[in-house]
Amino acid sequence: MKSLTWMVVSLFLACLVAAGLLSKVYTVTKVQIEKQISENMLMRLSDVLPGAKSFQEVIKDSLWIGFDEQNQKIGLVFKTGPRGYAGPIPILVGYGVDSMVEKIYIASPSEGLKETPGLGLQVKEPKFKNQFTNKKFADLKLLKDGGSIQAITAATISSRAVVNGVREGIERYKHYIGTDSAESIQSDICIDENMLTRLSKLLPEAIQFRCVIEDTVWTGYDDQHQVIGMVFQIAPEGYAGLIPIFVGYGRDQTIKKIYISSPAEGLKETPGCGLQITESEFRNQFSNKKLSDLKFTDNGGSIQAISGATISSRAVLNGIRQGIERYQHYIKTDSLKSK
Amino acid sequence: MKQKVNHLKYLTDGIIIDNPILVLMIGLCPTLATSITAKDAFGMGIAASFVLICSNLVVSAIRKLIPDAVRIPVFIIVISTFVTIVDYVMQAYAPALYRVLGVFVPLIVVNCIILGRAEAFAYKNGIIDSFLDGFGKSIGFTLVIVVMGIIREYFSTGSIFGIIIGPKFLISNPVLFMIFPPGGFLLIGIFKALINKFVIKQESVG
Repeated sequence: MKSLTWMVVSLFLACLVAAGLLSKVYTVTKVQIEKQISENMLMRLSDVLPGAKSFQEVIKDSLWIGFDEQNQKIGLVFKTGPRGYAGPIPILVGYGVDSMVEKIYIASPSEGLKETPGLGLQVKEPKFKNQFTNKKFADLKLLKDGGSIQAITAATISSRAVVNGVREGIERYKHYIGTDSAESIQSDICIDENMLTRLSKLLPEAIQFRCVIEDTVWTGYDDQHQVIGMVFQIAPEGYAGLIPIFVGYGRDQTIKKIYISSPAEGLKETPGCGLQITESEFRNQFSNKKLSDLKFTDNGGSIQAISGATISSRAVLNGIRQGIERYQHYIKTDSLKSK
Repeated sequence: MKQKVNHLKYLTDGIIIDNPILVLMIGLCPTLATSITAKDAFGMGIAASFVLICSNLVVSAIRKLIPDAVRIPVFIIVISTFVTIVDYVMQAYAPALYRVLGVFVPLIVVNCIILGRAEAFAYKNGIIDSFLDGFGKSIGFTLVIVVMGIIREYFSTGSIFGIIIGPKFLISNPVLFMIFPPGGFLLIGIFKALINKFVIKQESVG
C-alpha cells in the first residue's frame, strides 16, 4: 500500500517538477523567442527585398510592402505555399516595382518544409533558388516548359511547384505595386491570355496593359512605358438586353477600335436585326472618331445607324459616349499619378 | 587504480564495442532519417548527445527516489522535459543553431538510445559512471551517424558537408539510391558486418 502511494506521489512529483520547470523556461524564453521570430521575419523580408528599410504588413502573414529610406515603395514581399511533392512548400518572394523577382526564400524543414531530403529539399539550394532573381513573370517557367528555370534533377515536381507558387503569388498580389510606377505589367490578375489578345486588337500600338478597374478599364503602354491609351468595357441597354462593348481609346482622344461581344458572350440582340451591330460595317465606323463625332448622321454626326435597328445602334453609340466621358481621365498622366 | 580503469571503460565501450547503433542496434530510426547529409547527421548527433548526457545525469541522480513500477514514465518525463527545454532555449538564445538543428530536436524524444541508456545504465549506476556512459554512447552514435551521412551525401550529391568534391560523373549521375532508406540500411548492414568481423568475432568464438 505504501509503495502504491509512493508510486503515485513520485510520479505526481516528477510531473509537477517537470511542469513547473517547463512553464518557467517557457515564460523566460517566450519574450526572447517572439523577439527572435519577429527579427527573423524582418530579416527574411529584407533578405528577399534588399534595399527595403521598412515594411508594412498589408495582409497578415501574407503580404508586405517594402519602402526605402525616402519612404518610396520599392516592392512587395509575399508568402505563397504551392503544393510540392510531400506537402506545401512555404516560399517568401521579394517582388520589385520593376516587376522582377528580387529574391526568393524557401522555408526550412523546421518551418514546415516536407520535401524529401537530398531530392525535393534541394529547392532550398542557392543553385536553384538564385535562378529566380531578376526574372520577369514570363520567364518564370521550367526550361522544359519553355521558361528559364533549370529544374532539379529527379525533383521536377518540387521544382515546378516552386515556380508555380511564385507565379501564382505574383498574379495574386502584383496590383499592390500600384499604378503609380512607370513600369507596366504584361498581364495582370484580371488580364488572362484571351483578354490580352482582345486588348491588343483594340489598341494595336500598346505592347503592355495594366488593369485599372477589374474587368472594366485597362490602360495600354508603349515600349517606353508611356500611356498611349486605354480599353474600357461598357454595357449599355440594347433592345433585348445589355450590349457588352469593348472600346480602344487612344491618348489622342480618338477611338481606335471597338469590339461588340458575340451572342456566345451574352449578347441578346435579335439576329438579322439588332445583331448587325457586331458586323464590321457598323463597328468600323467608330474607328478614328472623336467624342464630338459620335452622333448619328441624322443629327450631324458621322455614324450611320443600322436600318431597322435604331435602338441597338443608339445603345452602342450612347454607351461608347458614356464610357469615354466616364473613363477618359485615366489616360491623362497627371491623374494617373494621383491614383 | 583498478576502479579507475573500469570507469573509463564506460566511456570507451560506447564508441566501438558497445556502439549504440551497430552493436546494441538501437536508435536506428533517427539514424536512417537524418544520416542523409553530413551536416544533418552532425546536427542530430550533437543535439541527441546533449539530451543523452543530461538525461543520464538526472535519471542517475534521482534513481533511488523512483519506484520500479513507474520508472519508464518518469524517464519519459525527464527526457521530454529536457528536449523541450533545449528546444526553447536554443530557439531563444541560439536562433542560428536552432535553424540548423531545430528540426531534429523534437525527434530526440523518440530516440530510444536515450530511453535505453536511462533504463539499462543510468537507473542502476552512479552519476559519474552515467555521465561517462552517456558521453561514450554519444560519441559512438555521433560517429556512426556522421560517417553514414558523409557516405550517403557523397554518393548522392558528390559533396560532403555541402562542399562539392566529387568527380563530374558522380554529380551528373548521383546514386540517388543512397538517399532513400534502403541506402541507409545497406550501410548499416555493411558496418555491422565489419564490426562483427573485426571486433565482436573474437568474443563470440571465445
